[in-house]
Amino acid sequence: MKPFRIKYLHFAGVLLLGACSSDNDLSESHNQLSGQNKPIAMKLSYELESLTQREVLDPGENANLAFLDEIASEQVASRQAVEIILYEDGRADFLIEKRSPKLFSLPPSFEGVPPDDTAPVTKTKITNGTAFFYDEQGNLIYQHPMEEDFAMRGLMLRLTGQYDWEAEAKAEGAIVENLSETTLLIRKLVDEGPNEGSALRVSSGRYTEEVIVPDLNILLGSSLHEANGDLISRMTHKYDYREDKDEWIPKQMYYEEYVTDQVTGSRYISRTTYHYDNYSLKIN
Amino acid sequence: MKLIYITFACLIASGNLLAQRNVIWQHGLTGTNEFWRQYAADFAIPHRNIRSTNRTFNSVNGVRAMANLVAAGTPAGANNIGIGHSMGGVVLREVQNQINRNHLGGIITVGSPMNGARVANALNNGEFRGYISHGSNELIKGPAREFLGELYIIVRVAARSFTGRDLQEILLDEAGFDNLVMTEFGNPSTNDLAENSAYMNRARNYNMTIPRISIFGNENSPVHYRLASTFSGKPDGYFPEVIGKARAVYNAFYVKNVATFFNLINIAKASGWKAGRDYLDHGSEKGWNTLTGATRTESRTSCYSVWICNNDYSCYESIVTYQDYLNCQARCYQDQCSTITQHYNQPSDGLLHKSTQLGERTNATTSSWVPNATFEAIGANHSEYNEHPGTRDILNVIFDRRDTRVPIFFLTP
Repeated sequence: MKPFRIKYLHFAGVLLLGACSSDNDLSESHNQLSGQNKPIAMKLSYELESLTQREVLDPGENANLAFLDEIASEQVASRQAVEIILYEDGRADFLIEKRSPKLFSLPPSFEGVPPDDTAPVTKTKITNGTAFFYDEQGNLIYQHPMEEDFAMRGLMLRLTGQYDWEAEAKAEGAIVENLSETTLLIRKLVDEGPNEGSALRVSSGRYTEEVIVPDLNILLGSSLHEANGDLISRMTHKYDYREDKDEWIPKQMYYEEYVTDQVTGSRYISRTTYHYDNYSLKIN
Repeated sequence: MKLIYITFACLIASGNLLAQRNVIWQHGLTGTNEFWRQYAADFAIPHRNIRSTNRTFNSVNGVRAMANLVAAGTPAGANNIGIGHSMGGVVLREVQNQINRNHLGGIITVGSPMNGARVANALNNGEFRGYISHGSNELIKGPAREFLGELYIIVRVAARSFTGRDLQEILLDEAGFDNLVMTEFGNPSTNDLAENSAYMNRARNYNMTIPRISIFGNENSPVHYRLASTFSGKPDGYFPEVIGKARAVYNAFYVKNVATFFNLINIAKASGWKAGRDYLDHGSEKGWNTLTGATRTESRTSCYSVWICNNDYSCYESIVTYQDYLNCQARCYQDQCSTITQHYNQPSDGLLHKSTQLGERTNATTSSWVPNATFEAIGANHSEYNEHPGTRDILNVIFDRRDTRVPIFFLTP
């Protein structure tokens, strides 16, 4: 029996862009800076809270550096509000605002130590190839070049249901296997090097595996492997399902990676769970 | 009127209080008389009846060697007040206890390692170098993954700021940690000052009878970047601001990559940037404070929801309802708990933890220093006591005896 089907768009309601509030600030600043009005394809917003923890699987031989592994094994939580404007050409602007974690309450780091009185960056705007950093009062305190890229294009296609997982995979030379009537496994070599399209890009033999349900337009999980099959990293996804709207909403992303610390000599697994709240997608 | 009588009685009780006081201002390891120059001049004013002695002595040949020079090069007398910064305080204790019990009448230590300097042990046993290298590795993960290939990033970083090895260079060179290592450590004095050194195990248990006061610095977080700023001649907020900007850049790359959601390669990049950001937020200061002994640790249980299905997605193959999907998720995630060591940052002046600055007795350390009074210089780091307003205020409180804990000996009208 096939899973319940969703026609084409599975993540969020389709809304008109007309009366958006702070989103406009971001797109206007892009257009002011770039001197051009680029067509907006969609706006995406959510609050992202992450919890990271490392677990030492095999302690290194350098015992007097064990404290570095201990400190790195402590849990770290952070939360940020994120707004993204995706343009039709695949570029994107970001607005990031610092929030206090809501889901995780971790022990304080300081006991009796006077706090840092440096004005922290609480808001970041990435637009037109530059990241702008602001303090709590909205004063610009720093800016840094950040090349524009088209990394969000893949997401955009998937979110709008325009992405044909199987056809795209085959076009890229990937191997596609049917795990079941509804589930596909896509195995693809990873090219590594400076930039897409550069002659310096080479294949290291590493490959990724993705398990997807094309009918639902969801990715269940993916993993990165060495050429010999050893696991490097893995991520899995959790979704909420809104039955009334027949939508699959990102709820959580779990990521783990295996690393050998070159200094302490330890081998550890680093795990991060990303929780999505107030997820909203508005398509133009 | 009553106050006048009390004051007069105190003056009588203090003996020869109106006699001129010699204040011996003693610098620390590799320091010079420049360190106390301003205070030595400012406090030698007529109404205090103070005469300052502020000289430079060779400090790298061990505590006893420097103490011999100080004993020979400064006037002795029961009315003398010795004020020692850092190793200078340890040296004054050595002079009084081991060379001439009549050299001083009272000692004030300012950021002195009375029970030893943990950071000296860290420099000698490789922990310091490990800490720097580990930090560098955490910081390079993001840039290396962003541009895929470590060789490539080394070329690329020349045109970028705050990335990977760039930041390491900032920390090592500009912040002066390397200078700190080369000039302040690696000599007989370092060996003496290490915690649990043969010298320190003996000296911290000297039986002291003269009045003594300890001033400890409690620097704002991030203590190490503030210390580094002052050490390299900049305002103490300089490097915290630089690091704050670097942290913001790391966070921007992290959020930008994690937004791709479906792309494992980008999520791996995000994880790299996040490792650098988290290191700047947490690991860097906790690591440094562990080197200096300014952390408290305790074991705690830490739980995490872990994916346990590996590459087995078989249960997803027969999903009919959303509940089937949830059941499958429930099967593949499991809470795993483990015992971890949690570190808590404790007060320090960036180089010395509070406990050693006060010569406290602890479960692990015996000490006979036991000052009559202690004072906290809030926001002062090890390199800025001579400029920090808190130190000046505290010395005025001591010389005016505006705090009843201060032995009357230190009153200098």
